[in-house]
Amino acid sequence: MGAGVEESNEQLFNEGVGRISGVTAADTRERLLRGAAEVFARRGYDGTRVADIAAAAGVSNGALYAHFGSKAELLVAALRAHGRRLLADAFAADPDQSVTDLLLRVGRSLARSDDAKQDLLVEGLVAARRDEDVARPMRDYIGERADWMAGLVRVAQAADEIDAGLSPNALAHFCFLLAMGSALITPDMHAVGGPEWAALLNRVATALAPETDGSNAMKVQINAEQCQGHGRCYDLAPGLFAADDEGYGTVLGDGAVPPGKEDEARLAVANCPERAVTLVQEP
Amino acid sequence: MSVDDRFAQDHWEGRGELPPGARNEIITGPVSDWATDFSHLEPEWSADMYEIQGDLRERCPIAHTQRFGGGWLPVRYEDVAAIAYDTDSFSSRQIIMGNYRPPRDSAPIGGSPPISSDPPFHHDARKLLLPAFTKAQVSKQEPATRRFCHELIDAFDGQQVVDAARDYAQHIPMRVIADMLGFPPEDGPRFRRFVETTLEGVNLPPEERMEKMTALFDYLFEQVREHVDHPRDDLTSFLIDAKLYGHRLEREHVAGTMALLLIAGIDTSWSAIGASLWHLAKTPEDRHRLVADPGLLPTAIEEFLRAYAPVTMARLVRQDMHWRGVDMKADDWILLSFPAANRDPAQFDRADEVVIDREVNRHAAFGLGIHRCIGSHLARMELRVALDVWLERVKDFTLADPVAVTWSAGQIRGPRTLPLRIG
Repeated sequence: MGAGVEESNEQLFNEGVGRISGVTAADTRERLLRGAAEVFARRGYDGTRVADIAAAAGVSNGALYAHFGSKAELLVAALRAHGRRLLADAFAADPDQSVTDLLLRVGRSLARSDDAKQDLLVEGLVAARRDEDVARPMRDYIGERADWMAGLVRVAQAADEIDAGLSPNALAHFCFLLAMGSALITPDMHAVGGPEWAALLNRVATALAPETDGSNAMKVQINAEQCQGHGRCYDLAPGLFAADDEGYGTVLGDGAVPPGKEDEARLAVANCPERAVTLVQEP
Repeated sequence: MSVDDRFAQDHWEGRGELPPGARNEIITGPVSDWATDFSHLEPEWSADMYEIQGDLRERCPIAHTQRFGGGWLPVRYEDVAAIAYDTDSFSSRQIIMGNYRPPRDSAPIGGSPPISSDPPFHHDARKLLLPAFTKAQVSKQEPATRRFCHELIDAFDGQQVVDAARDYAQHIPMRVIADMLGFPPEDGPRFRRFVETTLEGVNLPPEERMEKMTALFDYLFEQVREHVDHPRDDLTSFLIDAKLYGHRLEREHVAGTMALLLIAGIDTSWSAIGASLWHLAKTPEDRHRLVADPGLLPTAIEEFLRAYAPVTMARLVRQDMHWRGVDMKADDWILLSFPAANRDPAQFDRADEVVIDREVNRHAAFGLGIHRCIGSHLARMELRVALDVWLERVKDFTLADPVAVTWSAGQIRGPRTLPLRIG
């Protein structure tokens, strides 16, 4: 989709200046937004004149003001239309996928983020620091994006992918900070290796998952009354069980089954002659 | 202390006397109906045990016999498990079903603690032994066991046909338990006689049986006295010094436990190793699979233990009761067949098939409940090493003469003659 936008922009600039007859107001608005996105990203908010955008869009200044009241309004509108929306795009491409997977995939892309579209966002954020005219619509814009992201978190919570005890707003804020940070600190300033970044994100995702979810919420238990020391558990799942001094089975640590050990845990349960080993989902 | 007065006399108390208890008429000969006249000591039993038990499971499922002074044979997993767990109703004071019942006041200790013991004594006598039989502890025997298995195969020395039961399987547990008890390794042939006496000589006349048991205990006391004079780091010295409730063990406790470890440690593993090799000799697809993928061996071993569980235990009914549809009388035997439990289709899918990669396998080869075989970790080590070395060295082997294979009678079932063609 990104490539599509670039192509359209290129086409648009090649068409040069001047009112193009036979276009609708919506077309004009769209041309203006594309032009604004391009020029703001290239020259910055302060370095851009309204006339530059009108020229890039091939419309008159008057036509521009018929659509947008100010340069600030145009900036935020351009951001809404053409700003980077990694999550929303990835979500739209496959609405049925796991939200955690979606966040992880987008999160991984942040480490190598050098998308030109992020420049528009940076310009908006920087301008908002100095110009209250920009700050007001930017707050609205950021608020909308954060609300959308919090909604995504709620979807994940309803699907038992993310701990329902976590604040959707806080988690949306956290994701937002990562995304904004990646727009400012680009890989040419500071880089992180893909695998190490992915491993870190996986750890974060694990911590966000509900206790009842999947592997990390499974716990093995031994009923000491029933255990007779057959030792099948520590034979089959030495990472989860051990023998005590008399050969009775004991659970290592708190019995939590780490990712990748689920099959071992199931084997231990399936082979205890006394049925003393159980696998429980922690509430 | 150079003299331990527990073991000072040359002749132990009761030597040469029939032990007190009840004896019944010995009935032998062909079984008329397995549902009403079963006997685990007739040759048909060892030849067709699984078919007999499978048939009883369909039509009984708790068989009875008037032999041995009266006894019952449950063949469903759920019945076997229920009896193993119910130590209040079923006593372990004698675990060899035969024609002799020790006096009731021999409980809760019994003649060979802790296998012959009932709660609460059982727990304490067993606790004493447990640390010596943990997986970590028995793994110390593994290198010597492996070396010994190689020596046994070295001795085949170009023979085309070997007896895997006599020339291989039996020697492995004999050597291991002799090492652990601190007995001379060359006494192996005597151990074999003791095993046959205890477990297969059940229907011999009492005097003859007593004479043979006397030979066993004479030998054990000889070993004890030798250890009293020359203590060392082995199970015999451990038992001589061990304390229970602040006192050293009674002489009978020491000797009874030694008898247990010697007898129970030998023909059980011998049977399991032999039965596994018998299966592999007649099932080339399983043999090839294990040779190609030795990592599957531990899983396959559990399946061999399930399908060819060597050990059947016995219990004595404590008092008259109606139990699951039958009227049991006090001192009736229960023949507690773990092999039957292990082939109950209500408990195991494809119960009568040997599925060497079976993933769900809650078999009861080592028993269930408080009497779980204390040597199970040792037995698993012996079985794994014995099969591992055999498959590494021999690889291709077949039954040289299927009808020449013989099986032991009584409560421990395994091949006693197993001619295999290895060349």
